[in-house]
Amino acid sequence: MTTNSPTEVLLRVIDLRVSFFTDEGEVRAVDGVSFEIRRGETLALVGESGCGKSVTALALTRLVPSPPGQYRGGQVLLDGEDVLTMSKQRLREIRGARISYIFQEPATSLNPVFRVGFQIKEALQLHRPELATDDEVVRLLELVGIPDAAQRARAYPHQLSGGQQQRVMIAMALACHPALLVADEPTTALDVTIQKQILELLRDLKQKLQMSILLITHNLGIVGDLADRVAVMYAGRIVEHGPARTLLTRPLHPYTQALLKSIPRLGAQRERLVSIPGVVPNPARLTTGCKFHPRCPLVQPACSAEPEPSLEERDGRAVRCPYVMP
Amino acid sequence: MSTPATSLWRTAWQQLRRNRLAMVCLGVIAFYALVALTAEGIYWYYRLTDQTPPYKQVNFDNRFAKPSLRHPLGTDSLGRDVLLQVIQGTRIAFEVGILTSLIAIPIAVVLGALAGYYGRRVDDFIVWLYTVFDSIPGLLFILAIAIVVGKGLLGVCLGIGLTTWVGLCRLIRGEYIKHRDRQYVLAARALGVKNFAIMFRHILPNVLHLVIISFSLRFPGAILTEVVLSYLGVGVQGEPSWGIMISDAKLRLWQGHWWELAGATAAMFFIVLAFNLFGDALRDALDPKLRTAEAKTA
Repeated sequence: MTTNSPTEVLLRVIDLRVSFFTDEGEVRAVDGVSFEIRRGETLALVGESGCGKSVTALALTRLVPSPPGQYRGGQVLLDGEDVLTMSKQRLREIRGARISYIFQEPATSLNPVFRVGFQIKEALQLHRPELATDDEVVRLLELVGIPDAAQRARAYPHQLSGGQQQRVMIAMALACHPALLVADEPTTALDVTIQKQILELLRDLKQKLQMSILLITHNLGIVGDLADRVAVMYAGRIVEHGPARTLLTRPLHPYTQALLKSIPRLGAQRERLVSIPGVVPNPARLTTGCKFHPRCPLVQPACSAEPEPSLEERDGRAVRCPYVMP
Repeated sequence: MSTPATSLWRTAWQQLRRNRLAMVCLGVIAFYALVALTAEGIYWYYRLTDQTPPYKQVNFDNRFAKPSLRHPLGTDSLGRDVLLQVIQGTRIAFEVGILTSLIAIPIAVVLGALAGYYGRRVDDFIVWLYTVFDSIPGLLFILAIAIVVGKGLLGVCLGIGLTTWVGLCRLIRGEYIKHRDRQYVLAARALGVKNFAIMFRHILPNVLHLVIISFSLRFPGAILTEVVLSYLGVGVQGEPSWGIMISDAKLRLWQGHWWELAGATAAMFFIVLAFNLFGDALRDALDPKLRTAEAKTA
């Protein structure tokens, strides 16, 4: 294993392409996505429903259901090893141990018929069997802030609140010390107050355990709390990419600007909440040129012309729009 | 939040216990099971000591004896005690019920799980397979198997076992199709669990109640089929099964010798009724979704 220097790249995704084959033909859910995550860094992948962010997350350990999904190209390099071409055996060694997931709906992510402690223990048995003890389970539950952990370990999932269920999921995900935690909409199904607790928990754990996080969300509001860098996805592509602070305060791409304007803020009563006109495009029937131009407030006649604008990078920021160069 | 952790099974058991009819049925089933176990002991004792068991002892001086204190259910055409034969019939009935389940349920669960979980070609093949099995008239198929394997208990059990897995298989397949897209399955895959472990350790406990319900509902069916087969002459040979008793007794009913037929029929009636009622109660307790669906339509 390689050394653990802070700037070292843990995961590099190069030109990832994932398609779904449906009755309507090929749907390019992820179409040429590239990014990298360094050790200890949090990258947020932001976009509306159906933009391909969850598919990207699942593709990192080849979890996209196939069929109908199919990997059409690209590489996912974890410590230099390509996940998309490795053996199933090796893949199972990576899942849960090097990259682990927490999902949107904690209530359905836990197996309803087993006690939660048993489920955490199973995660341990898969990758760290020597640590699969009740003590370790209790320690993990305490780590994620579950009070009275020894007793809660004997509870069934339906006996826990949504926030506690998500904490259990986090404990399961962290059981084997993954290098990368993929959090796919980890707070979407939770109350706002619980959302904040879970995000704080993730931030604490990230510092404590020195792991990287890939945060998938449609909510730009929670990105600023957690992310170091942000990539904004639209129609299966990354349209803007940059450090969280500058991207959130000075968004470049019209889509990112529109997303930020559509977040409700306290103390801005008189300002009308802006929504993005139009609907999320059907990925089976995308327009020519820039995929966002039918909804773009800054649309120019040339926007619909091929080829589609490329992701231009300057000063650590990248944007896929020739009119708002960084 | 301080309620003690109760599992699905314990909740179901608590509900079942409140159902008085189900408890009576369970008592009847337990009684029959005890009788069957005793009969098994008697059977093996006389077989191993190489003696003629009492239920086979012929007594021509005492043919067609009416029910009395010595023979509570009378005697048959060879002077054998009917009650003792009914007890042995219980043993055969339980053997058939259990053995056919041991054959049919594993086939149904494994094929249903494979078809539902993997889908595509595996599913196509298994659906084709059970559709073929399902399109053959059941009784003829059982007769064919019983004749090929040879008359007797083994033939009957294989015949019934190999033909009655289709219904449960369909049910299990449908449940697996539903469960394979559940997020807990994705979460298990994301932890690096193998497909087989997901199928049988993660999903199976979620559909196990169907297996148990199916077991209690198919048991009486197997008993009845054995009776029919014995009646038709391909059933158990040389041992007193209910079917053979009914088949023998029907010829003598017009002579007024009702006790042999009555004994075997009553024995069969109560266990089949008990299993059916208990199976329904079990389904209500273990499959809450089904119960609410029924309540809505009622």
